[in-house]
Amino acid sequence: MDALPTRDDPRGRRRNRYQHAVAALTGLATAGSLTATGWIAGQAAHTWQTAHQTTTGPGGSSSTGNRHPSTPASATRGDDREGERPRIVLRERPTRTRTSTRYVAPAAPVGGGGTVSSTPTHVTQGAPPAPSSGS
Amino acid sequence: MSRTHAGFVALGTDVYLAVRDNKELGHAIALARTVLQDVDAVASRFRADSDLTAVNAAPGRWVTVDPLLVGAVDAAVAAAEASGGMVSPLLGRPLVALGYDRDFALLAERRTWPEPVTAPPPLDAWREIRTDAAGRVRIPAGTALDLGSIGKAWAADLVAAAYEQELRSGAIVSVGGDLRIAHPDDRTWAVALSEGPGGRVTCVVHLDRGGLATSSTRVRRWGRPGARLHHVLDPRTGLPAPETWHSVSATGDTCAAANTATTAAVVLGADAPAWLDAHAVTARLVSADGAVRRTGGWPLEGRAA
Repeated sequence: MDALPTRDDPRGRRRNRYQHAVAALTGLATAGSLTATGWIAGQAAHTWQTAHQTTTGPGGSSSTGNRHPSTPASATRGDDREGERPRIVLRERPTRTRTSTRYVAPAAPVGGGGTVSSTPTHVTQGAPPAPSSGS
Repeated sequence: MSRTHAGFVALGTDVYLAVRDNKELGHAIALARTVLQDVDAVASRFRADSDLTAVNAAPGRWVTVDPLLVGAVDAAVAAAEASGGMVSPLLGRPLVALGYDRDFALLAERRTWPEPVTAPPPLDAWREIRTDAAGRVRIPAGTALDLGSIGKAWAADLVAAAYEQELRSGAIVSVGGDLRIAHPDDRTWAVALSEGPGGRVTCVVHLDRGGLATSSTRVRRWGRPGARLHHVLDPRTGLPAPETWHSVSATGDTCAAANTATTAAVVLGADAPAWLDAHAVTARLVSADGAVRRTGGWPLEGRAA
């Protein structure tokens, strides 16, 4: 079996680029219902992964060792070997979780409002007047 | 008779609430406390861990914040738009330069003072504020947010909105003297006006719906060598507005709208009555010599309680 093309192998790069270009131009997915966007994401992940891959232990194989040279990395989706599956790298962000109910009143221009009167509509008992003072 | 009103302290000020149905008082208190705690956590200028403090630490850059702060900033920008910039959310640095860089209760203990800034931000700087409803704010470089002018009124609107959702009958909430009615009915709410918390009541009126706010130059005052200051700054100068009016009270569809009118009136000074009339605001203005001026539908004085 020929040595499989690697990232640095011009032969492999040209073959893969050609196949990927054909797939993009014709809109064909090389694996199932994969979309062009998904292919691009997969190709990016493959490039990253290839640059960061490490050889597994004895008895194992490199991440590219068992992939057919004509098959893009994205086509290995569903293969549960860790090194070949495209991964999405999420950037960690500081998180703070607080659960509460928000009631946001819409902003309104000046003016409008209720009617201010010097006498009440009903004789009320109980609560003292609500204070409105500068503060 | 079971109690229908309660009071507590939040946002550095007095909170008063009353309900029509005394069975809802406990729920109303809990709702108000929760909402105001959330507002304090995100919008306080005096908390090192607030989202507003994070925004002020990175002017000119997008800062991820609680969406609640986005709502507050949007309300403040709306107030600036409605007032032609007379109510500005970007007076944080001038306030700090004048010494108001800590909770007002601690201001009296201050012994050293910063140098006053020589110029405030451009009057239209608020137009450069950007928000993202998902939870980001960006303020112009060289500025700092202060939501003190609109914050309490907006918080009152938030509490009232919670009451509209959670209570079945009428309620009123006052946050530092800025108040809003929830579930308006066929009965009015009595409102006592004074120049400051616990001060002599100068007027009692009755309101049927919406919001009512009072702005005063007589309450948050402090002294530094060579100057007596108050907290209502004129965005055109970055200095306390001339004390043409000791207090201005006004109504609005919301408490934030009412507060926008009262703050703008204090800043505008002698031009305030014409501005209030032009915007169809119902207001009561008390001048430095005690004279009372009315605009819109403000009634003749009722007897003080």
